[in-house]
Amino acid sequence: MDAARLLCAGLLAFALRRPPRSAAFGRAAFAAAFGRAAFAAAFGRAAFAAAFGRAAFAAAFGRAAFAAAFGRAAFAAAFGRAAFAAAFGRAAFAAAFGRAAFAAAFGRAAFAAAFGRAAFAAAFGRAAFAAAFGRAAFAAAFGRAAFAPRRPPPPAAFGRAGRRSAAAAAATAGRSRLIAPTARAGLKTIFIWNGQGGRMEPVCVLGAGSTRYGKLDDSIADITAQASAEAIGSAGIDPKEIKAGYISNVFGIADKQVHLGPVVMSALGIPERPSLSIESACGSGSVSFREAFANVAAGFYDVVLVTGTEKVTHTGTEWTTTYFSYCSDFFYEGQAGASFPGLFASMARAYLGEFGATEEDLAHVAVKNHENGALNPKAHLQKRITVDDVMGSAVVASPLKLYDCCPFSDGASSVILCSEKVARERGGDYVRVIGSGRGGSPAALQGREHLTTIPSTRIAAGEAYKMAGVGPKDVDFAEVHDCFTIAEVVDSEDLGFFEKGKGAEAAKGGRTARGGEMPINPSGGLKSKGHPIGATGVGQVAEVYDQLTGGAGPRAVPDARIGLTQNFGATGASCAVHIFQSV
Amino acid sequence: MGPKQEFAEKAREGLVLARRCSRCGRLHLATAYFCQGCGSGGFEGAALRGSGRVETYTIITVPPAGFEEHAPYAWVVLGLDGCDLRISGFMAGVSAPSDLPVGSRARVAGFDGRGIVLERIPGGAPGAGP
Ligand SMILES: [Zn+2]
Repeated sequence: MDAARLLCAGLLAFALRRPPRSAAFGRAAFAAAFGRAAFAAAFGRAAFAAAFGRAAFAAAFGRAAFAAAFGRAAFAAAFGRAAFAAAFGRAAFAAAFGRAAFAAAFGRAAFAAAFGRAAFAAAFGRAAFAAAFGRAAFAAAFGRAAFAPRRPPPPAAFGRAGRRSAAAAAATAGRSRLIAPTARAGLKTIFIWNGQGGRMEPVCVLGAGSTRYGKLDDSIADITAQASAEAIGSAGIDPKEIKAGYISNVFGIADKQVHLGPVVMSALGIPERPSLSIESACGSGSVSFREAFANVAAGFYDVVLVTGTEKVTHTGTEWTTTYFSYCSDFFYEGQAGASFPGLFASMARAYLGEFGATEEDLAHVAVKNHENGALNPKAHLQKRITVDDVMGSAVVASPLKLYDCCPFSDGASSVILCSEKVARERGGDYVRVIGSGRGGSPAALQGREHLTTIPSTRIAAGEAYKMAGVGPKDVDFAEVHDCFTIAEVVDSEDLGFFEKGKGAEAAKGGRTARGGEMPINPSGGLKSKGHPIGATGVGQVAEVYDQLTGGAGPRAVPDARIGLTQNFGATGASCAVHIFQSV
Repeated sequence: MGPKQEFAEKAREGLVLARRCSRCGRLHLATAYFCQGCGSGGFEGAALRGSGRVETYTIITVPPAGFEEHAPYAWVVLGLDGCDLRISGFMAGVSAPSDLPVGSRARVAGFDGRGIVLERIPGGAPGAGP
């Protein structure tokens, strides 16, 4: 800028400082004539920002000047929290946005490094602490007091320890105590993490109920209401406290009743409450549970009813087989004569060929589940069987025989879900939902990369473990989807309990028995307890509730603190996994 | 005509109607609407020879309605030759595992009330080349 022009600009600027009315127009003309730098020099940076906006301000003078001029809050709003952290450091970040945001942004490891492990435990709970830093650190941090079991140990007759190696027993005992939470009165949890960096209300199972599973005479509407009423009684609530209902069912049409939600809510005296009727094949119950969980976690409702139900046995084996085949990818599977036993039999043949397992190995799954189911007064098939019984039973779809298959069952199961705030006020038994995950697989078997694994289970389990801050080794028992013996074997691998290809051997070796190191299906599973397909996923949660609140009687898994449920639809095209912890 | 109908038409000619993603080249059965690899909706048609190897199967002795007269029969998963696609379908005339060792060669033979119909390739013993 030459001297004359500079002088001219100076005089004009001086003149413009006075009459405010014409300032905007005058200053705009000034900027147009001499550029924005001259403008800032003449009128100051505040005027610059007012005239050209904060973005231009930052571009012209840098972000540091921006922060100095408008404050850090404005800085974060303008450039984002990541830029904020880069500019002012993580400590400033935490001070500005809170520790929850800090953890969401930088991860839990950074959180622990920044604020210490005590703060970590307070924020994420002791289970997450143990998962993150190991048992030794846990013991050092919380001492022996944290190890006190809530319930007295179960009778020796049902004890696991006596039937296992001392080392395995010690490992499990340490594990289950490790996760044992503080006394109820001392609970400090304000929120939980959803595994995606978000915050949620902690959700609890407040009560559970089930009809007997088997061949039932009552209508589908009746059995659905009966299970629901039992859950309401178990939870000790008034039906009017229920804010919404989630009702899962697949073949209501076979008993001339679809749209079951309003029918059940009306029977419970709360017709004005909203309900959702959900179908996701054999996984309907767990998918429904997940939707209910998400709604309570999000704070939409504080108390909800989750009921699963099915009534099909009156249609006979041929038509039940036919209806179920509609759950497959029908164009490629059901239409070509594939029954559900046939689809799982195809997985079984692939598994036996790939891993060298035998049909006898699979039979052990059935024997073990019948052993458990014989102790379950609500089970469909309450009888013990032998490997010879399985091997000698009629072939349904080779290599699967009748006793490799779960029965077609009628039945309904129900649970009450609520916020932890409500659960604590009630003072009764409840269990906390600490992990929830869902996943999908190619609908047709032919579209899967491997025929011996179910992708949806792996995805759902990964999500649930992440949310819960625990791993497969922390799980004390699991209720898994054993529609066929091969399914339980594959599930036990996909959930991370055993290495790929080792699940059949584990079952044969008794490792999944109630007294084994990883008890699977203490209820009897679908195989013996029965499989009313719309109810099964909810029934699994009811079993976990009973197990974790001391209500499982002779089939109790001793010292159980963490239970897992896995329930899938069709050949695992859809799946949900949930993890529960006693309080 | 929808993709499933077109697929059935080709199956009657012993072919498998496939689609190759025009962006990433991934092959799909023609019943796909978007590429599972890259999400593209652009495909080029490709009719594959419907022959391959039996990867797994079952022999059904308790059939769904409509299949009573066919039982026992097999439902078979076939790995198609020269690509990583599989197709599955109905196969008559299989009553014992010895009738259909895994690895046997088979092909698409038609499409009717039994869906995709497969048949063994005569003399196609396990391990024989395509
Ligand atoms: Zn693509």
